[in-house]
Amino acid sequence: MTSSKSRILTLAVWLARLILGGVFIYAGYIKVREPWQLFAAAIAGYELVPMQAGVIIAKTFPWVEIAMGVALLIGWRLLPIASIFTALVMLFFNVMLWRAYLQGKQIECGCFGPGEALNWVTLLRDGSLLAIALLVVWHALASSRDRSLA
Amino acid sequence: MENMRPFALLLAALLPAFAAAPTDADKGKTLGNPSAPIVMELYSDFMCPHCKHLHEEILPSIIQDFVRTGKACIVFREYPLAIPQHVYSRPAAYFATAAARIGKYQEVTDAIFKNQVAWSMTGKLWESIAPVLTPAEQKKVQTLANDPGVMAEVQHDYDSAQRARLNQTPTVLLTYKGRQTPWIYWDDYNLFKSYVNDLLKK
Repeated sequence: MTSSKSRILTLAVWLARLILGGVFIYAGYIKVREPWQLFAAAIAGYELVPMQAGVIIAKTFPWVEIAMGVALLIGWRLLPIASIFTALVMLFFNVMLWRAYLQGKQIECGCFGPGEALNWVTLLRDGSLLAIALLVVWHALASSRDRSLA
Repeated sequence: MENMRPFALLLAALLPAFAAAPTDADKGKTLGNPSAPIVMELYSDFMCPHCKHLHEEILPSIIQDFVRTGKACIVFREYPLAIPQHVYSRPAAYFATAAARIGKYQEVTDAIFKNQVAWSMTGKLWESIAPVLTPAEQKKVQTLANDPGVMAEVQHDYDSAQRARLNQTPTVLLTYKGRQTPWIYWDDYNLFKSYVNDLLKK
């Protein structure tokens, strides 16, 4: 029974990594493919950082997303740090999205390229991704603790 | 020379495919060369303060940088938002579209935006429009504003905005090499300018 539960959990975590890794690579790829100004405009809509900082984020963050996605998919020793970083990024995204939503801002999400408005669907999706990221973190930390005990 | 004829016919057949301006664009609401590489469809609502800002502060720069240089043409689209506060947006769009039919779109839209604060409160739109038209033009615009064709054109613009999932004004829908991208951020014109210039390099 325990072994069966463990197998299901392993499968769930594997699936979670696949989803998260795929989503991050896709999100990064979409942004890299588009001119950086589109992402910079989406960042500016949140009114959180000055434009110069937004420009730097717009030019670099898509590559970070791709790297995070690849690290999540590769797993191995990268997994604990990659999953923690992913969860922190997802937490940050969720706070930003909720802040903008509660302020009544009619802005673009900026999550997957241009033309995607911030609405309850984006909130639900990013909330789900945060939950998935937390599952991967928990499993990665538990696995590394087990390995160090053994 | 006779041998060139098939090529000329082929070219003539292909030209509409290369021409950038949408086929449904109202000529009276189009600014610049319709076959410019970029088409900017500007969706506005006459009661929207940000649209007034764009029209008065940013549009002249867009015209200067992209329309006069032949890089882009602008197609003005009506997007009277269906919200209770914007009760006069649609009548304003009818008047503007009617004015476009007599070649007075720019004059009338300038006047509508200039006096936005006043007529938004009173609903007396015509008081802002009439002074920029001659008595004969006034008569034509008043008649055309109730024309089913004009109303249908406004509705057509509204529907195309909905189809493109535009949820705010002002939005510029940029079409370049057959690909459409909406732009909604207007706090920094230089970012928009840099985006369009980079797009043209692709």
